[in-house]
Amino acid sequence: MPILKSENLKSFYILDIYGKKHVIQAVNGVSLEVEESEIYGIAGESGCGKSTLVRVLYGMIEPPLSLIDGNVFYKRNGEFISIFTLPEEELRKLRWEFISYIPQGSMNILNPVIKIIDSFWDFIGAHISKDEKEKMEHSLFEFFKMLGLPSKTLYAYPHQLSGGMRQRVIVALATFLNPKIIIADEPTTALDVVAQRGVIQLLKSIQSFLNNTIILVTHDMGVHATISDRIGIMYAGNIIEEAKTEEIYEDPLHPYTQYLIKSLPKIGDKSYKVSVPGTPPSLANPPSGCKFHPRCNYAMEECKLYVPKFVEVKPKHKVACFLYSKEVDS
Amino acid sequence: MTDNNYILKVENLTKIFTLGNIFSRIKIVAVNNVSFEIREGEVFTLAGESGSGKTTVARIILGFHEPTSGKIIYKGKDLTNLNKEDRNFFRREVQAIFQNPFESFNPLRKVSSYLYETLENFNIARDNKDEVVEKALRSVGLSREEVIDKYPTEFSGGQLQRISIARALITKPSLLIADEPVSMIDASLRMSIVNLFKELKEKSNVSVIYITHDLATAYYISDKIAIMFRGEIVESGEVEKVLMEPKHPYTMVLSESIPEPDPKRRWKKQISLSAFEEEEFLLKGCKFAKRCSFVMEECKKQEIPYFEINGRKVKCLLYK
Repeated sequence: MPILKSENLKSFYILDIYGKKHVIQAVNGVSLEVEESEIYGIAGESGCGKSTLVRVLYGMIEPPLSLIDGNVFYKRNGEFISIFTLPEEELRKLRWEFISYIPQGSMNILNPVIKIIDSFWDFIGAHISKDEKEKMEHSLFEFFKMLGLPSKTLYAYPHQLSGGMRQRVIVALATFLNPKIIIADEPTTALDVVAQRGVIQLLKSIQSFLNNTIILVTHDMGVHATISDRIGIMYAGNIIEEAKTEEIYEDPLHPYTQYLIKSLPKIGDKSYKVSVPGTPPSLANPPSGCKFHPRCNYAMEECKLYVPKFVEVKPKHKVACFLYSKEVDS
Repeated sequence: MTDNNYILKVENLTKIFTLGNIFSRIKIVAVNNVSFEIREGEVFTLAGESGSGKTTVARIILGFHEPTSGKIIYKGKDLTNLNKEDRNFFRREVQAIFQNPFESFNPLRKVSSYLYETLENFNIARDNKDEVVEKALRSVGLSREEVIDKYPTEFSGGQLQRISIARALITKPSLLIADEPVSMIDASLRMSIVNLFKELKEKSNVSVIYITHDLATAYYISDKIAIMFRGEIVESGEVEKVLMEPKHPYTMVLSESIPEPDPKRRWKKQISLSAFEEEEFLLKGCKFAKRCSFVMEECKKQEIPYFEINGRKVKCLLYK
């Protein structure tokens, strides 16, 4: 049962520079369904629109980003509601309680001159009344204990904590109100491998305790392999392949995914690895047809003219490539 | 050259930073007694988590920081007291590549001006500048036409990093110091930069100090590796041995924590992280003692010496 879905979502950055209009097609027709209590991974290189996609899914559309087309639905109390028809006040109430968003580099958002716990009251103030504060403090300690985080970190200043611990505290705080959906945008990117493992394990244990849904955005395919249940591969503003994690690694279909998986270095393997040829496309002026065709070895005439449709070619395995299906996206 | 074909020798390097004001001072030992050697045509990796001192080592070698104590010997010459001529020679021979290519280039200057400036600074190729620039760019898979008259914003991160490598190659260096050169580059292009270092090593016999926290690429390109933790090298040796059969408990945690791109091999054990970094820096004995699962009483009391096991050095009392 999907808990969040989007239909033909299009969202562009529209910039006006000295009277000249620039349109950056960051999210260009994404349809996805995220199932209840799964970890859905979104992978792709920087500038492919993955961060923009999750911002739109969170309903955070601020100029210059604007919604062009499509819709996002959350399933709440058994029915789907479209978030773009909700009044701003309603949407704000959903945040942190129903869906929470951990933006990129969020370990640096803590106010440096107040203690972590005071920052937390700042964030959460809108959702609790003053009388509840004392009770909350107690359950916050319980929550930290359950996740195996030292509770003395709550009374530390941000600079006293290591990067990995700061990130884990942020993740814990963002999930304290038990949201149904957690969106984590590159939660481990600036961390070293040991701290990264700590954050990933924390996300995983939160998910197993609270049984919620996680949408995880990262470019690191190693992280996806260790935590995601399903993966959507994004390229130039669209999801081009989606399947179960094992399936993506064992039998990637789209030529881009194949390159991506093959180029990953592994310990214990010194064989020569090649990266994807060419350079990532500019979203301001994307190539015609299939956006991967200038870099693709299998490119055919039709790839330059038409956009392949995102279709299910194997059970639960969707891909947008003319090698597998000749259907054209209208 | 003395010390048969060691190109760079670092001996007991220590750097202490003092924090705070006159009322409260903390001494942070950023680099503690670090020694290693690099041979000609060898890729040497300094790996470790953020704050382990790996960048500080590179900055000391490049002369950005004065070491508190210790020696750096490059081709038989001590770097801490060089005369002007030797310093020029060193600057030509040793070139650096930094982490973020968008920060290493001034956005308002044309990229090619950096290449020509390097030529001028080192007085190379007075007559055929264009040719030398073309050659350097060709060796990284670009051409002069692609680069000339363009600003940094017109390139992708991968291309800019290639250009900064091309710039470094202009002086025909014997040693490249690459500080996290691929951490800002996309996964799909990362290997092309890593392969470049591999090619340079194989074709031109250039030595590389590769500083990274990404052990998978480190394994892919390097010959030797040193694992740093809180300013100390805890284990060093051949990369296959160190990463495949780690001896030091920290290296074990580290190599276990690499997220492998294989969904069948997921982690089962939980690990513990340090909450307060400063505390670990100030520990007396082994800095990993608080998190180590093999910790003994004596680990916390004394400075741990290095023990040698089959050609690698391990700083751990388990191998006494």
